[in-house]
Amino acid sequence: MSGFRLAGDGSLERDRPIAFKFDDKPYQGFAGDTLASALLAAGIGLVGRSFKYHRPRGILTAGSEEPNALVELRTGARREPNTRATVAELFEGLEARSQNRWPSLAFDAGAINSLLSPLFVAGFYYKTFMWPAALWEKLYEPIIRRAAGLGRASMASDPDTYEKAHAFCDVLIIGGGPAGLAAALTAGRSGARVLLCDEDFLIGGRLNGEQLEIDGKRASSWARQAEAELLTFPEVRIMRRTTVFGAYDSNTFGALERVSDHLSLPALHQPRQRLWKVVAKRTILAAGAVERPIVFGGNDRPGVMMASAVRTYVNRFRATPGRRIGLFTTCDDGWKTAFDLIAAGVDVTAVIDARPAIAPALLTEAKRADLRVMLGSQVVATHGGRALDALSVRDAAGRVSRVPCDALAMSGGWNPSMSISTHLGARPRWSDAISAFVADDGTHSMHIIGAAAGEYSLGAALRAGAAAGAGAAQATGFDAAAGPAWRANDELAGLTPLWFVDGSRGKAFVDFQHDVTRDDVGLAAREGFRSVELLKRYTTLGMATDQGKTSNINGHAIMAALTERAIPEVGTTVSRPPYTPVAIAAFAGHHRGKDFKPVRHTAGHQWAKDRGAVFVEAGQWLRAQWFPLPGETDWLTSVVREVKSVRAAAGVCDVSTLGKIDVQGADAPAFLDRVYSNMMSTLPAGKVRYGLMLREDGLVMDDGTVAHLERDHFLISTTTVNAAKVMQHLEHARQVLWPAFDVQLVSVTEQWSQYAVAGPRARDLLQTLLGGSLDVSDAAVLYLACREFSWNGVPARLFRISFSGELAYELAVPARYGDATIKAIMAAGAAFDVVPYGTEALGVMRIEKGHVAGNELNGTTTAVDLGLGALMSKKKDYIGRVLAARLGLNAPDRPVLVGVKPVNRESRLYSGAHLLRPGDASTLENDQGFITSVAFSPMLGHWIGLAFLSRGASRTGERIRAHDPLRNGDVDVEVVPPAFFDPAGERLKS
Amino acid sequence: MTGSFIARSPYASNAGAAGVAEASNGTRGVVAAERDGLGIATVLARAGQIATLERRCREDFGIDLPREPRRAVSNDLSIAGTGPEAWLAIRERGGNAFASSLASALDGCASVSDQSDSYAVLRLNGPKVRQTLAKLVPIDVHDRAFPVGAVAGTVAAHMGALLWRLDDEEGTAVFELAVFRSMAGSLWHALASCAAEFGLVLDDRH
Repeated sequence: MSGFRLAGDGSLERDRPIAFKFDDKPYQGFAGDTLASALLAAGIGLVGRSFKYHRPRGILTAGSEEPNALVELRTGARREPNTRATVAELFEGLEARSQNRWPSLAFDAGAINSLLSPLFVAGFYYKTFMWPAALWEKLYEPIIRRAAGLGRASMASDPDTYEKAHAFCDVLIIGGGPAGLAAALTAGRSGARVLLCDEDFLIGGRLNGEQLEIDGKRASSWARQAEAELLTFPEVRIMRRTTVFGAYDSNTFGALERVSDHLSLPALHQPRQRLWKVVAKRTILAAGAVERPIVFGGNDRPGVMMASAVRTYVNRFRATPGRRIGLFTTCDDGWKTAFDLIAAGVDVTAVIDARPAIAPALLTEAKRADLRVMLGSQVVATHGGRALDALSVRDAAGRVSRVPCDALAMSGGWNPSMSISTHLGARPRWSDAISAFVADDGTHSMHIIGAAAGEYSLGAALRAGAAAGAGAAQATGFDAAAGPAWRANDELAGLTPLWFVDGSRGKAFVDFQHDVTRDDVGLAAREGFRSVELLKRYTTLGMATDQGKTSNINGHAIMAALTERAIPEVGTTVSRPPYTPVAIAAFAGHHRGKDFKPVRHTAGHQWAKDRGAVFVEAGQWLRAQWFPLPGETDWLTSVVREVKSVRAAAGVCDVSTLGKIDVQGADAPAFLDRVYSNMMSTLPAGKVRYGLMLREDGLVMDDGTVAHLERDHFLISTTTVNAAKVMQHLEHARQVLWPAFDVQLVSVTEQWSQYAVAGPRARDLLQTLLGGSLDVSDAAVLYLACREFSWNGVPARLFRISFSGELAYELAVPARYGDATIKAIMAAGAAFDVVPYGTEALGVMRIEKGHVAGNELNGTTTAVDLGLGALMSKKKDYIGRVLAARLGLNAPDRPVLVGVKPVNRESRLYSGAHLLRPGDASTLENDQGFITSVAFSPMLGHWIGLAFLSRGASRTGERIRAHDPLRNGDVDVEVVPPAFFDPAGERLKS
Repeated sequence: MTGSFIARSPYASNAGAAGVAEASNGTRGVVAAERDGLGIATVLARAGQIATLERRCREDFGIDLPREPRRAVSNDLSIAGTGPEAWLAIRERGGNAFASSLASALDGCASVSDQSDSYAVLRLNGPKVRQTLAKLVPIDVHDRAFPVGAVAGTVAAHMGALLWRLDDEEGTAVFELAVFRSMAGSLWHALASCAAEFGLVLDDRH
């Protein structure tokens, strides 16, 4: 024995030493160590300070249930707080730091909290801050938050990548211990797809940490052999370092694979962690059990450790937490620790068993090992400063004596680890046989076996594993046989639970991570918080990141004893995912930053980008917002120029993002009549009509155009952002409302690249562009005509429609020619002074024309509000017709669409400003409506706006106030008709 | 004019080394190829015309119309079931002319819409193609669950996608993944992220 490292390999690779640092001091461990085992081997017992009282804390467990040994791992942007040292795999150059201490771990100023502990008892938040309330947020809470706490976040952007993946299997096995391995072997041999997940980096569970034999072999060797056999099956997958953290509906599980946490840096293109969504036909939960601490005075002193953890450190990691170790147990299983320590050459000072009588076999073996055995005895206090040096033990006769030791192994029995089974709502049930809660069978499809089911012996685990593996494989259609039984001992599992040591001196901790003591549970009981759910909230028992894996049952049992109820009557809490903490980044995967959601580019995107366009998001689409020319530094200059150019000559705008839906079938005209408020069945082939769609509730849903291409083939357009919603609405109408109709719908938005060419010279431009492919003269292509033709050998479409109010067309080509088409338009248009224009100029021109858009089609407006009442046909039925007739939607004082312009033409308007009568106070009662869209009109030379104004139709010429207290206060505006420019619409028919 | 009027690939901005992830050891875990020039059309049965449609597909194209998410192939034409009485027909090198010829052939029994430009289609294979798809799509692509000819409407990295499996090549599975053309850039980026650890190479032979 060198220091605290024992001779022999255990599961270490002794030929691979690993250098690491803890609180800046260099140490050495081996490949196969955890940070905790390497620290123990280096003689480090003190690794952190506790959450509330800043008590010195050591390492309690050897697994993911660890409540004490929380450290910060790594440095810089990769610093991760609250990492459990017991599961942190050692790697070269690892830097770990203790946390929640200042200025140092050995001397921590915050330990004064321990003296102030009466202030920090259960419910202190609720009691301390009764008065004065003004100080809560500014004084008390910051102080408490500083005093109580854990590690520090790096505050830097995470440099690592994370990803998500999906796995499917016939049989999911959670836990790679003896039961899980037996199940995997049995199911795997049948050819079933088996997924075996284990949170450890070494498969085998307790087989690695115990001196056990299977088929006459060392259990750890058997585990290696089982793993090797599993790896030969092509349909079996073993995922180490993978925690199944949650059970979800339909046999779906969440699992976190720590791909690179055991490396200094992830390898090239490797994520740090991978989040798996696992879909399993059958699930076997073989997650083992968590050993229960004993609640006695000073049970949190560094050096006090779970008995099974001591065995694991000694057997697997060849590290001992002390040189003279005591054992405090209430069960047979704890005794194994004493025997294993002796076998490893470590001195065992005393075995303190709370039970007055124990199995003779244990006594015989104790005698052979010359152990000092104290039956019917209990530890009432621990001594030492930041490390244990002695125990006060009360013997059966009530005498208290001092037992020197530098570490204490404790075992209060075991709790099956079945919290995953409660994620979907199953309630655990108390078992008197094992004095623990077990999963209630039969509530769902998960099969729980081994220690997770309260079957603690190795022999039972192997038998249950084989049976469950065969059963699951058979249930998924494979010919599985349980096969030859593995031989192993059925160990002694006697237990008399001891929930609390009466007469303890000093704080007796129930929840180590949240510093909840036995007295806190007592206080909760006295103050009436007796339900386990209230106990949890009042004391924070089990609410730490460890979810109370080591503490809940003790706390609930103590509550039962204090309130003189049976444990089943008190019950226990259930847990939610995740079983152990999962970084939010793992849930995001690759979808970070600009990859948060997909981006949609039009076929002309690259061209616009090359022109220096500024883009704006429209749903997932990126659309060119304006095209700044060299020297143009503000958007308004560019937009004004674009508008003037279009109205003076010609402009081109990419309108590919508008939704396009092919509507075909013999009943297409009848179908369109029912989904649009205006008549569509009368639309002749080769013509386009503006259409308005109402929702079932009578409000306007969307607007667009309907083009009758030929016979029973129509093409409708939607607004960009409503494209998917309209498609859904129409599919609902087709499939559910009128399934008998012969009508077929399909989105063709992505098929066509479409450009609006607008302006007085648009026709000349198009004729030059299209040449002999199509005659676009006014006589050949009238306003609201559409044509299908062939251009450059590809199918093309031309629609004479206008949103800008100018003579305008939309030219559609297959998207792969979208890039070539915009270049061709620009080339042909050079002679006609064509400019590209973006959505901003488009918006200005539609406001100048008084055309409604998203700001007005806002889900609260009717067709009449929008001035589109004429589009509500009286000759037919359509979706929304009946409810549009509701009284409220036809109230005479409803705000309707008007135009507004500032009386002082220099004033700027803001959308969102509310409209008031002159002199009226700015109260809700006086509200007359509000401005929805504003623009600086290049044609009029001042700001203009569209607004909804109560009784607006009859108020033309009236002066009112546009009230905007958030920005510029009041502007006097004049009510005008919504069409500001070319109100007669002469330009578009020119 | 016609000389410069050329089609542009939805992947044009992503081609080249910038979009391709080379594994550190140079492995070719996933080989991606753009499927260019496909003639693609949606085929939706007219009401009550399913029997006629089936007969015409059998007689004219030698294809038994699949009534499930499966793909039937005859020569250079494939028809994939994508929904109730809905199919996606694809003709190799069919271009935009394919939809109009198909519409004529199926006149009266199906509504046909050209989608040749709607989809950006990638052909994916290589020894790590399934491991890559496991990160990209939430469906089971194991041979037992997704055999040759299988079709699925699914999502790939939050994008609506169609996935189908072709015949194996050199012992490894071959898939084609189609997303809307506008999302080709996002899909390529997602694919490169997922395949990077295995090595992703662009194969321009297809």
